Amino acid sequence: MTCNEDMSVRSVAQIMVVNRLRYCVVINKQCEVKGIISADSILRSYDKGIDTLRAKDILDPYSFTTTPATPLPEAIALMTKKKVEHLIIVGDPPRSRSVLGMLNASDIVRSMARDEKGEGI
Amino acid sequence: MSARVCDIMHKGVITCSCEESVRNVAAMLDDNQFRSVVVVNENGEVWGLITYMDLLAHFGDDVDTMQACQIMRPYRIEVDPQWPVERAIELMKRLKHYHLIIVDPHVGTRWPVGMLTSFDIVRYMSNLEPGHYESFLKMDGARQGKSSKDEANRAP
Repeated sequence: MTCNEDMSVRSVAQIMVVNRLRYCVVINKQCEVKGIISADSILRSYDKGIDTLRAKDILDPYSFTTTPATPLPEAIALMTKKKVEHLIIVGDPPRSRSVLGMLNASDIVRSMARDEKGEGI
Repeated sequence: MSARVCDIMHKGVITCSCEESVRNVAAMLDDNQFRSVVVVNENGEVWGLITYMDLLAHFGDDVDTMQACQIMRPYRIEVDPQWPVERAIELMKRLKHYHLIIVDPHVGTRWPVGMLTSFDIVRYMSNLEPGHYESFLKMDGARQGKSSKDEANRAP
């Protein structure tokens, strides 16, 4: 699920609520990933004027690269270190900004519940 | 009158005992599509909280022998269901704690009655009424349908 960086924070909140998602990937006009907005970042913008604030004002910048080739334990270690529940997976080369998918904490919890070693993620 | 916590919180929580295995906790979260489970003592009172992030730190560990009390975070925040939402938001921002367990003060014990998460706040901020998402989507779909119909009418 993506939104444009110039979208208002209220619109981003509506996208998340309607789609029942706790995050939204922010992209620019060239469809390059700029960052991610989580429910927590929208909460932090409460009483700052969510109709005037833009997505680019509150996003957590995309700063660390995860590709499909990244080992799962490494990706999970990154999530726990940075305290994020969602990792944006980008294509190769590593500094590419084309979004391939997301790794969510829920995917990992599911694999822990089912005695998988990450094969099902 | 501003909204109260009980107006927007998620009613009901899932709970586990201190001795529950971590694998069972993960299964509970996955089955119920919840992001946190409340650890309760033998009297059913709030003792701690386990969220996704607490579980992630133990990926690859022996989750069958590990118990809930080994990975939970003790929980001591008191939130009344009658609080204004703004007060709960201030608390969340100040403590950076995005899962608040709501406890009914009239019961006498610390029994959890609901949960308030950052997503509930996002729903509140979005100004969309709960249960009206489908009509919102239908409206959007109808608009798209209409535009495609218009295009079809325009076509020779």
